[in-house]
Amino acid sequence: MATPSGAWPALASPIPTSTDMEPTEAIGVGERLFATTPSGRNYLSDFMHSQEPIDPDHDEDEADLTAEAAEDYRLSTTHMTGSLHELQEDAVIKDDKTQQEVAEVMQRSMEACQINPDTVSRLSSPRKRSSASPALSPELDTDDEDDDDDDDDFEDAQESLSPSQKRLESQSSSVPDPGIMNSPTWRQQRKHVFVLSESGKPIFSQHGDEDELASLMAVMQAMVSYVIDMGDVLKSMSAGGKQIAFLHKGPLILVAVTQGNESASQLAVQLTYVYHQILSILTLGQLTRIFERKPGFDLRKMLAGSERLIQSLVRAMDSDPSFMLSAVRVLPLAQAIRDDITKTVIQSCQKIKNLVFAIMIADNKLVALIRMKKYYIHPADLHLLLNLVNTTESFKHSEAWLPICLPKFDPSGFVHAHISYLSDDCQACLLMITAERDIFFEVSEAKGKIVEVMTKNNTLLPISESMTKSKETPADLDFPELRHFLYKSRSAAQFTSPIAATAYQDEKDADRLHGIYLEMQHQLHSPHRPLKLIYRGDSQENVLGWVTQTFELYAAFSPDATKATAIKTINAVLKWCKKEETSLFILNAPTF
Amino acid sequence: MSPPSDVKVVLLGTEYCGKSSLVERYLHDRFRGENCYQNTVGAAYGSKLFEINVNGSPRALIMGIWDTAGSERYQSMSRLYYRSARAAILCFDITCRESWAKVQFWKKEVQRHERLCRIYLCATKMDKLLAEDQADGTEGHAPAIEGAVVSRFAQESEAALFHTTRIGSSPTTNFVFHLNPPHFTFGMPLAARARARSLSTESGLCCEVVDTLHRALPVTKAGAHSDEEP
Ligand SMILES: Nc1nc2c(ncn2[C@@H]2O[C@H](COP(=O)(O)OP(=O)(O)O)[C@@H](O)[C@H]2O)c(=O)[nH]1
Ligand SMILES: [Mg+2]
Repeated sequence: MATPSGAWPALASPIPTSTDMEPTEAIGVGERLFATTPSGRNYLSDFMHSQEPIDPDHDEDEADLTAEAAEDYRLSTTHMTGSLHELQEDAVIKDDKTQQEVAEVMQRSMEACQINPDTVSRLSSPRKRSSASPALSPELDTDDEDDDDDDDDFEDAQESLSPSQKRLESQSSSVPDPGIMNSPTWRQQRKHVFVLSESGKPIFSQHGDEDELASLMAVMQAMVSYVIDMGDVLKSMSAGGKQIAFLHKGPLILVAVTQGNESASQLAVQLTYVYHQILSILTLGQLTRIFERKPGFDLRKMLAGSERLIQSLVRAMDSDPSFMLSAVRVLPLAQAIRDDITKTVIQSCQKIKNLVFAIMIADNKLVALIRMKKYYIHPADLHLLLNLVNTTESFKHSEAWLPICLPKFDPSGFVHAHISYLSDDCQACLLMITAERDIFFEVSEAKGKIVEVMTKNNTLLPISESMTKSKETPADLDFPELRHFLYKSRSAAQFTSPIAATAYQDEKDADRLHGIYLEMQHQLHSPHRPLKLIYRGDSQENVLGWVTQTFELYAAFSPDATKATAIKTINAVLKWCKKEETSLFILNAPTF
Repeated sequence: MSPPSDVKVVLLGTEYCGKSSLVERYLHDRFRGENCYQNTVGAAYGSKLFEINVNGSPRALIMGIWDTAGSERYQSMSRLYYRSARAAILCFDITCRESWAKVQFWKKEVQRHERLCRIYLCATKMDKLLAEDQADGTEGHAPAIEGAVVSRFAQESEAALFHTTRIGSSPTTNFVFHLNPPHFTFGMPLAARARARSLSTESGLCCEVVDTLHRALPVTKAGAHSDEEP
């Protein structure tokens, strides 16, 4: 597949200056932005592109990939076009009738599983809400299970879902069964993620032992297969004040249940990440083969030792905006330094056969990324690699050599990764990914050379310095009015954000802000009625969300900040991002 | 993998049976302790330079050690790590039956594919069998495998048998891995334990392995590789 030259594009157009934004007109809810086509189109922009309303007829040919699964070790010659289409798939509208039928089948299957129906209904059965009030303020919401569930000031823009139905029943349900599903802590979890096999065997549960949840998972399986029998696909439902999303991929069923602000489509994106995490451990080929041979296989055996990867991914998605933005953070570095590091890596790796990617990471941020000419790394794959590095302490002590599957790059095959830290003084991690499984020593030698040259060129120190410096708050950046912001360069699929001001140091407050960002992201990218600009305020904070062709911006202010201040400040932020662009983002696309 | 090391050693055995701790002890002389278990992903490589005596003149050799993860999902790819190894140390946790079962699997696997590879058996966590080594004052574990069974298996496989243990019972002491003589019996009396402790801690497991190896195999390649210094 031919790719545009100079592939990793610079920002498609200059960041607008203050004149681009008309204060009086621009601020207001309800403006629409219709599908726009971005200019640069490579892996990253492809990816960005997929955030635009999607052509519903587009169909990823995952089925074909399943068919050609067998070969584990092989470098795919057809590179994935890297669209996140399936990640962004929209929730299917389920009419009332269907919901009712699903509820019935659930009831029946629960009886079959001999579960106390009350136990499960908390999670999944649709209840009608008596009051028609559009929003449930925290004061009205007397339910003690909902303390994380903050103000629904907004009408849910997710029209594809049935109207949100708040749970009415009280805590008084009889609980004779001492199982985990009756434990208040388990039930009060803001979010649950479950993975089960098509035959209903438990594979993963974010909270609690899977074995104890076998009956619940059986119900989930029953629901999914019931809807399949009806010739349809169950994608989401809202019930008992909870949003439930289903993802049926290959031999796996993934389910997310939230009481938080995630929309069904955002949950589906998160489930796709979890699915990719599992593929990255096993490959699609191995996963398919396992279940073809033994439909009742207990997949936990194969995932033993890797559950922590799924756990940490699920946890990260609850607080890290990277996943919502589908973008990565970059470690700020002067361009000259970054170029020097890149050059060092390229020169040291010249002789290595089939080196596909070299990725340097520090502090969960990208330092440098070099790729083989015709290949691109998808941000979704990059997130899996970041997750692996974040959760594996042992990389700090020795060089690791491991097979890994990058599902967006090639879901059915393994590539091999050499992973090690640069030095004790510089906690940057270098990942070198190749299609060859037998070249550990060549790669290891190249790594030694890289460290040697970087020491000589004095480029290790700037990395360490930037790592300490990146603890800056908005005030440190000279935006005292701002509590927090996220700025994403859409063409680069990269974003920058300071650490939050003291107002969000408390986990509860940080969670609330993240929830607001999630809601806004959903409204800004709603396939049905995308908004361009949102400004919302309440007694806790004023938050602005703004998306243009070039960037996506979220900013949080104190509740008494005026709109005028907000506008002035974000214009200053935009100017700053433009000015610092070369250090905040990686705008070129170096290749071997 | 074409080895720039002169001797390739691989550690095989179920996850959590103590392989990384052995390597860590051997290469860096430390033991992280039970509370900070660090998951091995794929395999970790480490090397050590050591000198041997060949016909009266010293020679430097590099031993490359592959510490594998041991989890089920890497099993089908494990050949990658043991291919052309000269020594395979099959580890099992003395208190874990499952890990013993896996040792038999690895033995067959390695013997089938690597005819030049010598097999060593290593029973780990021997301290757990001894009541007085338990920090919480509990009884020692019962061994999951009988000593006689292990010895017989070692004989049949022509594999040297080693036992390793953590020395020191109170949480404040630094734990040290210790290699006991091959003739260790299960439920060793106190006196014998004391003797085992007084053995030099320098003689780590892998040293012994290579020593034996060297006697068994002619050294084909030698010379100092300064860039391989661990
Ligand atoms: N009591 C005791 N614990 C040990 C011994 N060796 C290892 N461990 C502990 O067992 C756990 C697993 O060890 P590790 O070396 O990481 O196992 P690996 O997965 O085979 O590499 C760690 O918590 C170690 O501290 C030992 O001889 N005695
Ligand atoms: Mg280990």
